[in-house]
Amino acid sequence: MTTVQKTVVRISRIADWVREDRSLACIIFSISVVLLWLVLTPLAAPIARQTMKRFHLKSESFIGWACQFPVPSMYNFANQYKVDSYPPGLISPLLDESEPRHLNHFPARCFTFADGRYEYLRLGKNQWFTLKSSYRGQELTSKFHLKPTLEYSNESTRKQYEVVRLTAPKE
Amino acid sequence: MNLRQKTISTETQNPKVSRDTKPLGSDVNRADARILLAHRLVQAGILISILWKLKFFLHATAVYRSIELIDPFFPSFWRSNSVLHISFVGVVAAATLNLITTSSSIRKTCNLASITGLSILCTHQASYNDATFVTAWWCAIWSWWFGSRMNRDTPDQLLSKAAFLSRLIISMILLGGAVGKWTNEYWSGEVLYDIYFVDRDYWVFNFLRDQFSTEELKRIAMWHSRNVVMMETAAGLFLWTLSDRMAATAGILFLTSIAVFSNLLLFSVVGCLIALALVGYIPRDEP
Repeated sequence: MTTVQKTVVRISRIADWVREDRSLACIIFSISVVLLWLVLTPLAAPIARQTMKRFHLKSESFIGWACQFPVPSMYNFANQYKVDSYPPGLISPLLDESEPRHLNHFPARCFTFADGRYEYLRLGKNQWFTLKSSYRGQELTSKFHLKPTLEYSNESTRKQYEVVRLTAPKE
Repeated sequence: MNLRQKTISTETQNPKVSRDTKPLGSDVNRADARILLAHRLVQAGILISILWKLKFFLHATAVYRSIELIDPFFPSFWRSNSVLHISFVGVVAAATLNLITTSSSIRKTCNLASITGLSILCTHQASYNDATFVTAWWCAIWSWWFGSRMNRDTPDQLLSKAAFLSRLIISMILLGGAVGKWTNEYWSGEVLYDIYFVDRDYWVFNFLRDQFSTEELKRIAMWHSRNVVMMETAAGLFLWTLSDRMAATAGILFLTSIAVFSNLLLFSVVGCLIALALVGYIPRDEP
């Protein structure tokens, strides 16, 4: 049997499976939707933009953001973050506190995930985070102010922060 | 009349009960042991993935308890620490129970519980960024489908479908990683250099930092990054087209190499996928 014949047999077998197994058909359809999304990411700027917004927690709605979770996005885009203890523009670049560092994906993890939350927020002080994602010429920059609420004093072991987005949701 | 002739005779008399469509019956114990092995392998994979970073998760929950983020983007349910804990424990309990049960109804319930718990973990404020839960979610989807077919398909037919679906899922996940790297910053090695080569405390990078200058490290990072992009792309595009065993071998080697050469914690992400790939090794009577 030639390779072409083998391929035809395989495809017809998969087609038979899909015809008789609806749950398999549903999963294959879902995978196809994800694959279409992935293939369009480098080709269609709005798709890449959506993923950047997803990474910056800036999708139009939580539901819209949550619906994207099945799309695998490990180590996607060039994501950078920078943390400052002073509001943006207050100090001169010469006195800039930190250098931007890269993160694998979801750069907002630098304050939502445990390690970053502990490193930057355990003291209960104001912090400003700048996130930047780049992909094939597109860029998205977001600024967040992590503002301690008045409910807890600096001496308390518990801290609570309000997440304030400094840039408009629609770029 | 020998056994083969008897079988052919029965199939001729009642074509609906053919070798390919004959159900296994409702009693799971009668089902081929290979079927149960496949399902348990994937449950073990999910369990390993989830528990791989248990120590980190315990530390993380302490941080989340002491530092709370009020972000209106996340509804309060998706910010709650209790929801995080219950989802995590629920997935662990469901996968554990799935490892030992032979009851079809318990299996189905556990699979649905896993999907629900992992869906929450994939979208919770404290865990959305952890790819472990996404790969485990796809494995849970596979398990739900597999569990629902255990009493319907013949063992050989089910294992063929299962192996195909497992490599399709692995291909999609690898392609997801590749597509996001088709950009200059990965081709130049800039991203992986900063994430791994500058200060990551891991044997590969510690060794390289000891042996090479900064400029040489940047060059190594560039070729490493290009290799990752090309390997992921090739695996994402072609893994699913390979035969069951070839795909399983290639998948396991590639996924293992990702963790061994980057960061052992990544076994939490690839562990369940390795288990999913192992399904391709389970022997079948039919080709």
